Order: sequence, then structure tokens, then C-alpha cells
Amino acid sequence: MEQKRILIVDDDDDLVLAHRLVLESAGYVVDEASNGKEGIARMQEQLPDLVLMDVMMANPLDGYYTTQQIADDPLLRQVPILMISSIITTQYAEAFPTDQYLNIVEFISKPVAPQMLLAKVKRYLK
Amino acid sequence: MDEKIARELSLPEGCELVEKGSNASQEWLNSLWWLIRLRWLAGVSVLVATWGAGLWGLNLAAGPLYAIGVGILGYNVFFSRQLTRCCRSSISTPRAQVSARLQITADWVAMTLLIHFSGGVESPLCLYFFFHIILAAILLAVRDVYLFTGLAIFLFGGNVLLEYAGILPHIAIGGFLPAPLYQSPLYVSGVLLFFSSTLLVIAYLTTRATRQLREREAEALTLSRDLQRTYRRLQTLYTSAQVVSSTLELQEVLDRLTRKTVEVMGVKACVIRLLDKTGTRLNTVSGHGLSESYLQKGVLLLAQSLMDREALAGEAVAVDDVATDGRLQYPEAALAEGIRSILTVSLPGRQGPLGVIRLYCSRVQRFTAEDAVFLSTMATHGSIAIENALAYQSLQTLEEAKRKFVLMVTHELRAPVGVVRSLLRTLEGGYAGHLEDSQHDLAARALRRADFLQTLIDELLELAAYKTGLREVLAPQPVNVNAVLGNVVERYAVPSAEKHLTLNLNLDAGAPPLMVAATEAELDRVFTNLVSNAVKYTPEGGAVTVRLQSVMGRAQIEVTDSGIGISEEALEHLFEEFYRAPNARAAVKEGTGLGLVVAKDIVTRYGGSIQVQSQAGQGTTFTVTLPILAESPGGEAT
Repeated sequence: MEQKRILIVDDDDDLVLAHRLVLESAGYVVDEASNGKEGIARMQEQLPDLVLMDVMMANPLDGYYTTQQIADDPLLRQVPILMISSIITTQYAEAFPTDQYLNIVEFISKPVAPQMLLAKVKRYLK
Repeated sequence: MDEKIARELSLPEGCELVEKGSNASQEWLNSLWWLIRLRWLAGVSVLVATWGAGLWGLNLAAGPLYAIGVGILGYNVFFSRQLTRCCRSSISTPRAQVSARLQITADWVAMTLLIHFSGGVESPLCLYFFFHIILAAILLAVRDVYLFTGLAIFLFGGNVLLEYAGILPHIAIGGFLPAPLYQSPLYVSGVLLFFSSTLLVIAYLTTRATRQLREREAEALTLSRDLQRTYRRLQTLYTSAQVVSSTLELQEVLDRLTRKTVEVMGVKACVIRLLDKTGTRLNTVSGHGLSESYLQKGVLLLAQSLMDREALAGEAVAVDDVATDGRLQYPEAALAEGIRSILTVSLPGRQGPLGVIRLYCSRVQRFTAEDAVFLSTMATHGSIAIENALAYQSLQTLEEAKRKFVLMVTHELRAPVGVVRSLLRTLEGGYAGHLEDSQHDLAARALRRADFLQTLIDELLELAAYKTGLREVLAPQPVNVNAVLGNVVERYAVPSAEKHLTLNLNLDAGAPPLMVAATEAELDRVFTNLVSNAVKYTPEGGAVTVRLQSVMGRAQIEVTDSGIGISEEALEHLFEEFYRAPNARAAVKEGTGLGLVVAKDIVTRYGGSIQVQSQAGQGTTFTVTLPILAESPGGEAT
């Protein structure tokens, strides 16, 4: 079976490194982008099977706009998005657009325990 | 200006008082009514006395006397109607005065006729003229009193002399006097002399007394008017001070102050200018009644405005004519705006003047010293309100700074600690390659410390945010307790599995989710604290159970563990800040002693309670209850 490809969009390269190591240890191919614009470019280059996206990047609305842009693209919006936020709960979820094409599968809060991350990823890759 | 105030303000009681006071004739009209009431008595007395004298055996000219009595009553009916009409329409003093003269003339004629028909010079009724003079003195001006005194002497004397000369018949009261005296020259001249002199002396004495009385009355009236005006101004001042200080928003305070001042003083416009930080220029901060272009006419430099320098020095500065006064910086602009006179006073702050308040009028020489005093008083009240608003504003700025600080700490401190934890977990979990035992041990120790740091930061922030009111209190929303508990338990699935603990969540399977009014984030924090404690203080192989049920309208959440338990002594201090039970301290080194404080704080705020039951060595049960929301519209929330 072909290896699953996961794109991490986060401006904190330490966090990207941690997540990358955890995911790679489980055999996933990991791609990364440090902002929303770059993330979309990566997705267009090679469509991933899942996106891990930080809600608040350097520009606080970056995550928000990026998900909307993804929803506007019929190809990109097929990819499930796992949102990671530094806010403890899913209150952010309410602020997000309720676009029918928006493929946000879950909000999880930072810091994500390695086993939890693997469990979530596994669930949404099926 | 006082009339202006009186017109502009509607204070019902005050108006009534002023109305009364302003009409000086009210008292006088009452006297006139009193005279009419006396006359009813006089008319009836004549009738009764005539009838009584007949019974007594006196021989009277009863017919004419009855006629006179009826006549008195008759003309009294006429005068009383006239006065009623007079009062019902607007009170017209001149007409009432004419009526008073007519009434007294009629009385004089009636008296003369009575005297004539009761013996002329021999009649004892002539003494009644004395009362009439006193009545006239109360009702009429001094000159009129002497005129009527003269008339009385003329009528009485004429009658006596005509009877003496035999031109008029003498009608004696039969049986009253032993012998007729009306033709005795000595008696007649004596009576006339004493009658006239007594009447004149009475006229002199009573007019003198009533004149003094009227002067006092006028003084009292002026005083009461002054008092009214002062009362009215105080009332106005009080209400405007109230209106002005009833808000803490600076702009609102300033705008209300200018608007109220224009209303109260009845002037064209009012402007407030506050000194800037350098103290060299005055900035217009509020204006009422002036055009925008005038308000924006230019920078007002203190150095160029003598008027404002004088005002800030503490004097009230009245500019009587803008065209000729040299103390303005922009006289042409003022003239173009239609301003002719200006009054300026300073706004006295606790530490020096705040600025000036200025009144404008389109007439020259509009402002009096009294106006200056009044405006100064308004300014004093206004300054207090302005300073309060300024203090409030700086307090708000401070609050904002504190809020920013907390946000900064949240992000700048919390985020890196989170990243450190992620990196350490990755390392410790062996995702970056296999670790030797000693390496793993070091990574695990570092991770524990990082975890503790994270908890400490979160809980300190949480506590600080609420204790100082920094956090915006979010409106409670319907929160699904089942979902919150599900999330929390899910988060602790991995840590409890690592410790070989059984973590159970018991929800009432058949029932719909329980909704309470709170915020999801806070409820999450409460249950995270309780579950994390349970997991932390339960030895390997133990069990942690979270149970949710509905008990008497409240959601009851129990977190039970088979852990180390809490001693009775420690239970007392459990909800105190930074307190940690000795056995907890021994079991787990890291702990903030804040988690339960935060939990209790949150639960209490949403009308709930938190209780604990425990026995050392046996385990602990924390019970949280929260009021259940009635059926929430729109189904499942959050």
C-alpha cells in the first residue's frame, strides 16, 4: 500500500519538527509549510491525504483564511483538515466559517501528545 | 436673565410661588373681599337694629331705615358679583381699585342717609364713620383717604347744617334724647368740630401705619422673590450637576455640561476648552450653539489670548463688546459668528485649572457679576465631573494595559512551554530514535518539569484573570456536560493507560445530554483538574470513574478514584490557594495547589457547588453540581 502523505502547516518549526518525527516514526510521509500561502502551494504541487493546520500563525487569521481558500478549490477541499489550536477548547470552531465544503474534521488543542496525534491521524486517514 | 430662567424652567411649585409674589395686589384683593363680607353684616345689622329698636319702644323712621338696610345689601350683591367677574378673568388691579372707590362712596352715602334718618347731629351712628376711615386707609392710597375723609366731613356737616337751617327735616328718634339738640348752635358746632378733627386724626394715623405696613410688605415681597430666584438657581445647579455627573464617559460629561449651561443661563452658546499637556494651548473639547467652522477656527494659544490667561488666573472675565475689547485672539471670527459679549471662567481642577468654560451672547454687555458667580459655580461642579471622567479614562487605559500584559504572558510564555513539551515528548517517546535508559530518564524528568510549568502558568493566569477582573466575563451559554466530560476523559485515556489505571465514564445512556449554563472552556478546566488529580494521585492498577447523573434539577458529576485519599486535617484547607496535602506532596513532587481553587471559583460563579469526600488511603470522590438548564431552544448546543 502506498504511503500516506501528511502536510503540516505551522509557523513554529520546533513544533513542526516534533510532529514530523512522531508521524515519520509511524511511517507517514511528511511535508511542511510555514504559512497558509505556502501550504496551498504545497497542496497544489502534490495533494496530501491529510492536513495538520495551526489556527493561529504569525498572522492570527492565516489559518482561518487558508481553510476558506481550500474550501473554494474543488480539488483541495477533498483533503481532511485537522486544526490544531493553542486555545484549550473548541471555542474557535464557532468562529470558523460553516462552509459546506469546509473539510475540517476536528479541532485539537496544543500541545498534542504524540500518541494522541497518531490516533487522530489514523482515524481520519481511513 | 432671571425672567429668562423662570421662563425656561418648569418647576411647578416655584412658578406658583412666584406668580403669587409677583402679584402684589393679591393681599389687597383679599381685603376687598373682607370689606364685602363686612358689608353683609352691616346691612343685616341695620335691619335687625331697626326692628329691635321698635320692640324696645323707640320711635324710629323705620321705613327709610329698612330701605337703607335693603339698599346696602342690594349694592353689595352688585359689587360682590363685579369682583367675582374681575377675579375670574385676569386680575386687573385698576378695575378693582375703581370698584373699591365706588364701594366706599356708596358706603359714605348710605352712612349719611342712616345718620339723617336716625337724628342727624343727635345720631350716635356718626361714630361708625371712624371705622369707615380705617377701612378706606387699608384699601386706598393716602391721597384718596384724605379725599374721602373730606367727603365724609362734607356729607355729615352738610346734613347737620341743612337740618339746623331747617332746609332738611329733622327726623329724631323719639324717646332717645330728653330735648332736641339739633338747633343748639353750641352743640352743633362742637359736634362738627370734634367729628371733623377726629376723622382727620384717624386718617393721618391709619394712613401712616398702613404706609409703613405696605413698605414692609413690598420689602418682604422683594426678599421672597430673591429667595425664589436663588432657590430656582440652586435647583437648576443641582439638577445639572446631577445630569453632568451621571456618566463617566468624558465626552458625554463635557457635552452635557455645555448643553445644560446654555439651557440654564439662556445664552447663545457655551464652549469648553481644556488645556493640553504642555499647558500652552486650549483645545476645544465640546461646544453647544456654535458653528463647526467657528469651533475649528484655529489653535487657541494661551500666549495670544489675554482673556483666557486672566480666566485661568482665577478671575471671571466678561467681555462686554467683542468689537472693542482687545483680549481676544480671534475677534473677527467671533463677530462673524454673531457673538458680541463673552463670559469666561476657569474650570478649577484639584491641581490647577483644567481649562475654561465660556459663554457667548449676541448682545453687548450681556453678563452681570451675578452671572459670573453662577457660571463659576457651574464650572466647579463641572470640573469635579470632568476630573472623575478623566480618572475613569486613565483607569480604563490601565485596565487595557493589564489586559494586554496578561494576553502577552499567555502567548509569549505559554506557547514556548507548549513547544518544549511537544519536543520533549517526542524525544522521550522515542520518536527521534531509541534512548538509553539514563537518557530516557533525563528526558522524562525534563518533561515532568515542563508539564508542571505549563500547569502553573495556566492556573496562575486563570486565577489572576478572574481575581483582577481582567478576563472578560463571557455570557454563560448552554454547555453540553456529556460532551465536555467525554473530551476530558478522552484526553486522559493515554496517561491513565500508561499508569495501568482503569478510566471509566458513566453517562446515563438513555437520557438526553445534560445542558448547564456556563462556558465550555471553564467547565473543561474544572473537570480536567479533577480528572488529572485523580489520575495523578491514584497508584498503578487503580481506577478512576467519572459519573454524570441528573439529581433534583442539577447535573451531578462525581469523579471517584481509588487513590491515596485526603486526611481530615487536609480536607479543611483543600480549597485554599497554594495548599497541597502532605501525602499529595510526598506522592507527586510537582503540584501548584491552585487547581481546586480555580475549579471552585468557576463552579461557584455558575451557581454550582463542589464537595469532597475522602478517607486517607481509601480514595476520594469530588462531587460537582450545576443547575440544569431548561429545554434549550435549537437542540444540542456547542
